[in-house]
Amino acid sequence: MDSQPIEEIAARWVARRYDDAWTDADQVRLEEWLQAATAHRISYIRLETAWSEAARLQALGAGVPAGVAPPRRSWSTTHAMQEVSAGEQDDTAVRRRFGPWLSAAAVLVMAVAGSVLFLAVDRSRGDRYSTPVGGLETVSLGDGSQVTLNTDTRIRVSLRESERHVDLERGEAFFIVAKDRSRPFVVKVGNKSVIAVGTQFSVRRQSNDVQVVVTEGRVNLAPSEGDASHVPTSLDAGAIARTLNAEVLVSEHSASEAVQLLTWRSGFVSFHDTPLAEAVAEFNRYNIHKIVIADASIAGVRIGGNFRSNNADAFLWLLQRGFPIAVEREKERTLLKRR
Amino acid sequence: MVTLAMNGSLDHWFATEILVHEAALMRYLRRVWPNAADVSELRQEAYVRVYEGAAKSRPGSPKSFLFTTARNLMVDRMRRERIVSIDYTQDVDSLNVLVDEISPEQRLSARQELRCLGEAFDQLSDVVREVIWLRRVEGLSQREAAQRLGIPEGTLESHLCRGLRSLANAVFGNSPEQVARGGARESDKGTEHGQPAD
Repeated sequence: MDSQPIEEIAARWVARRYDDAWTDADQVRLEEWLQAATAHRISYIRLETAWSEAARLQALGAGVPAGVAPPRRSWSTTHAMQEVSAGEQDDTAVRRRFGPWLSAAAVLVMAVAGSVLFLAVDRSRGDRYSTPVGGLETVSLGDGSQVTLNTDTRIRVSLRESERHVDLERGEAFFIVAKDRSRPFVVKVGNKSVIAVGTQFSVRRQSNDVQVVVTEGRVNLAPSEGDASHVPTSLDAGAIARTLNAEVLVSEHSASEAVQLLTWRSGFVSFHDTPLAEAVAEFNRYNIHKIVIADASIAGVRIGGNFRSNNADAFLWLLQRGFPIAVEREKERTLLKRR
Repeated sequence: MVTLAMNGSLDHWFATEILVHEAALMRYLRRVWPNAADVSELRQEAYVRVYEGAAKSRPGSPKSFLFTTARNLMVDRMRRERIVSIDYTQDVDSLNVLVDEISPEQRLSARQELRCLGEAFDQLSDVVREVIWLRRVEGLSQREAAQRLGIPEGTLESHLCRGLRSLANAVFGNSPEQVARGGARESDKGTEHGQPAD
């Protein structure tokens, strides 16, 4: 048996299987080829697994501009994945811990087909837009502004004469606001408001608290409506603000750093020294099939890197290979245990 | 939410329970088998036997099953091809004891694995590197990547295949560097480069 020609053919199958041009007819032919000999199947599984693993190169290329491969040897300085025992989490890094839960991502494979945008007819209460779990949608508003809705998000938009008004009922959205000084652009989250004129920013709602990332211009965050003791907080480009009840915590970044925190808009989740529990919570935002940490002792394992959010399987596979973690797939959920 | 075309739990089992031992298996084969040129074929044939065996009944200890299968395969071949001396065939029984000795758990840390992958990636030619990067990391289609690089799609696919096969060897701990390290560590057990002990 000569495995080299088989491996060559298997590699071509993998290359085509993960190309946009793949069709149902191709799938049938692949199944036939796999059925024809176990040696075919073995080669295919091996190379497909390698293809899956090669996604890790992404983590190594963090910070490299899109469009070209990073220069050779750029790996050595990259810290890509790191394990720290559960007890070593510290609180010094409030700022860096913003990263993971900000930089959510989108589009699960199974959700793509279902990521329908709903536009309700009830104009009196404004236009409603929503995305399902795993959805990611961009809509243009009547004033020329654009809104990108992340997973599991619901907004209501009413463009009034005095004010452009968006209720963020749940989830996370990124706004590119068309300039119109006569009509401020107001995003309401519970009793809090984010007010802009012409700028770019994202707002994420978690219960009644809000987190705002400003990538261009300036916005005002009014933490508590009708409370004279709370003046609006002014946020410039690069600012990341998070409210906790009536308190506002602001951290300053460069505008380009702030943009890095919005990778969800292109379908990535990014982790930097992130506890596993937070990383799993991020993936679960995009998945109906939930990942559950079944052993508290692994919750603090630190994860780094960029992951395509439509590839929770790759994430699980890497966890299994790189960490002392066992992945148990059940019908409704996937359990993570210490191995 | 299955993103891989692999379907069925058997394929998944094979990837997670068998392929992870590839580096150890290759060291074992290289050490025991006299002709290094045959080792890839032996690996492939062992995999086929393991897969087909597991299709009938999933073994309790996948790793032992893999190594036992590899051993039996070599014994069969030695006898069939008469490529070894009588002395050597008598030594065949010593293959029995090797499984745990020769393949101590040496799971690489995530950081080491990543370094292996990065090093393998760096060893690819410029154009193969670019192809892998654009297709796998940036998610371009074959057509988009071919246009970006100004090469025909067929050429691009060939580059991708070459890169993928190289990376597979790195992913499974099979790269020349690791082979060298593994060989050095185990050479004190009485056999070296597949030659029988005196």
